Amino acid sequence: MKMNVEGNTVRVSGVKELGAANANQVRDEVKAVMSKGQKNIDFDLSETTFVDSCGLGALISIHKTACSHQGALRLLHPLPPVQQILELTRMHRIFEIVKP
Amino acid sequence: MSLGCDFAEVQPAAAALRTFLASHGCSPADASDCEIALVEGCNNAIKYAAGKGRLLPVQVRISCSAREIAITIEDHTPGFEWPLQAKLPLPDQEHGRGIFLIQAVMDEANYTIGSAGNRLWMRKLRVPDSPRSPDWSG
Repeated sequence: MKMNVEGNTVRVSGVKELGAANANQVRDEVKAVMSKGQKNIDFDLSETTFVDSCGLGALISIHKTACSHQGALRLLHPLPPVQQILELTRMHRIFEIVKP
Repeated sequence: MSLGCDFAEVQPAAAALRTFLASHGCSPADASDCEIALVEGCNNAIKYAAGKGRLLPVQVRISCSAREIAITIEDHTPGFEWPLQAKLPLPDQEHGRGIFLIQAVMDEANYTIGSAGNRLWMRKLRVPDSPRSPDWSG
């Protein structure tokens, strides 16, 4: 996983899978960076081939943290399997999703 | 296949499922749905295993016929009551979507509690390939 800070925004990328095995770690690492003052998260999902319900939970947690900082979480370029999960759970109505 | 009580073993199991289903000519859509169900079922089996149950493997069986795909997951958790229709939690809740996803992507699923372990059985009816697919024989 890579994280780059650009002004008020943290860009997260390079997450191949977001599931039970790594969701907590990803969540904690992103929130640790946000504790240093950044308020927006751009989570690049263009390389993420799978997200399960645990991964969704991590994204929800990150989303809540961004909102508490008066910021926002954007999900960038989700692949079709990930978009499917977002739509099945209706989270596509909650998250801001940027498609290619 | 047997999985240890470790989330790190779930994605390799999902990969094995994809390979198995592809070798049986399953559509990518069906394979994707089954992968979701397998992962969510295994995650629950691992997450809720307790005590000596954590030392026992999670057993996964997959079968594929021309008509359906069936997945069985045997766990060693205390067991729980399988809902007729799981509901989504509130959007800000970080947990509680696994069973909903299983029921959303599979055509049938049930869960039985046993003295030696519990069993989640899930079935997906196979959809014929589109008429433009070279495998279509309808």
